[in-house]
Amino acid sequence: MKKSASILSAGIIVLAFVLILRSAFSLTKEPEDTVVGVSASWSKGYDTVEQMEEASDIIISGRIKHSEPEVRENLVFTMNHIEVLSVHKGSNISVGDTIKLLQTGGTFKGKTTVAFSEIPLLQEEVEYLLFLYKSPADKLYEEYYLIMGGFQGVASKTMEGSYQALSSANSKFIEDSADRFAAITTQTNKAEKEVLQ
Amino acid sequence: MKNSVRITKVVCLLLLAALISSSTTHAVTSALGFYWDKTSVYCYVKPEIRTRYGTAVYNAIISGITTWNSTEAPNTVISDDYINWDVLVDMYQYGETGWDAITYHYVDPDTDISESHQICINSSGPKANYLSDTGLWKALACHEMGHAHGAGHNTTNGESSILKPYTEDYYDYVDGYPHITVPQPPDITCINGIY
Repeated sequence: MKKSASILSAGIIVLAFVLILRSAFSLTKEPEDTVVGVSASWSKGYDTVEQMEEASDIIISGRIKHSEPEVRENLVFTMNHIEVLSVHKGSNISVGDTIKLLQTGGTFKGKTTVAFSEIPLLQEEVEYLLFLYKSPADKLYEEYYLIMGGFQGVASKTMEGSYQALSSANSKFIEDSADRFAAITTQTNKAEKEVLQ
Repeated sequence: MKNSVRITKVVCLLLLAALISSSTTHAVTSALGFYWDKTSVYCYVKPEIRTRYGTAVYNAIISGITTWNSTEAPNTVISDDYINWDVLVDMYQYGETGWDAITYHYVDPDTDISESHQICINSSGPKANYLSDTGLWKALACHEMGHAHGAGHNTTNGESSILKPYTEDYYDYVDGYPHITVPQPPDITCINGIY
C-alpha cells in the first residue's frame, strides 16, 4: 500500500515537474486555427517592367529540378533549385546551370508556413520567366536568388507558349508595360528554341 | 431681388465646391475582409526584441502598434501575457526574403472574426544598417498592425498611406522620403469603415 502511494506521489511530482518545465520553455502559444491569409510589407517594387528589367541581376526562363524546405527561426521557407532553360540577362549564368531561388512558405516536419496568395510556391513541371536579384552577402545564409518586386518578377508559361502573370496582383503591372514584357518573352522563347535546335 | 439672386449664386457655388470636394477626397485603403469582435486586443511584443535590438527599437514597435488607437479600431493593449494574446510580434534575422515584415492571419472562416495575428519583422538585409532609425520599425509595426485590424494594401498612385505594398513607398529609410509612421486618411477611413 505504502509502495503504491509512494509511486503515485512520485508520478505526481514528475508530472508537475514536466508541466512546470513546459510552461517555462513554451514562450508563446501557437494558434491552432487555420491561417487564412498572409500580408506583407514588400521591400521594393517597380513601376514598369523596364525598371524591373534594369534592376534585375538575371532574367531567365527555368523549371524546378527539386525543392527543399528551410527553417529560419519560426518560419518555413522553400529553396527551389531551378534549371536554367534560357538567359535573357546575366553574364555569369548559362543554359543548363542550376540556381537557387528562395520563397517564403513551405512545410517541414509537420510545421507549415503558408505562402503568399500574391506569390504561391512555384510548381514542378511548370516553366517560369523569372526576374531575379541575388541576396546580399549574409553571415547566416548562403547566396541565393529572390524574385524581383516580391511577386512582380515571375510569370508562368501557358500551354500556348506565352508567359502570363502568376497572380492577379501582378497582371496590371505587366499590362502597363505590355510591349516590353512581350518583347522579353519573345526573345526568351526564341533563345529556348535555339538551345533545343 | 438682386440680393436674393446673389445669395442663391453663392449658395450654388458653395454647394458645387462641396460636391467637388467630396468627389475628390482620398480613396479608401482596401479591406481584407476580417475584423475583431472585441473592443480591446492584447498584443504581446516579445521581450527578446529588446534584448536583441535594444529598447529604442522595442519601444518604436510598440509605438507603431498602438498608433491605431487613435482610430475606431479596437484599443490595442500591450500585454506581458505570453499565453493569452491576440497579436504576437516577433523580430528575427530571416535573411533576405523580399519582404520587411509579414502578418499571419488566424481567422474564423465562418464568421470572418479574427482569432489572432502573428507579426514577424525581418531585421536582415539593408535594414540591418538602419537599426537606429526607430521610425522604420515604428512604420513597419504600424503597417502590420493595420493588416491585423483588417486593412489591406493601398495601391492608389500618389496617395499617402502607411499601407502601401512596398516599404519604400511609405518609409524610405535609404533616401529619406517618404517617412510615414502613422495611419493616413485613407487608412483611417478604411479602419473606421470596418469598425
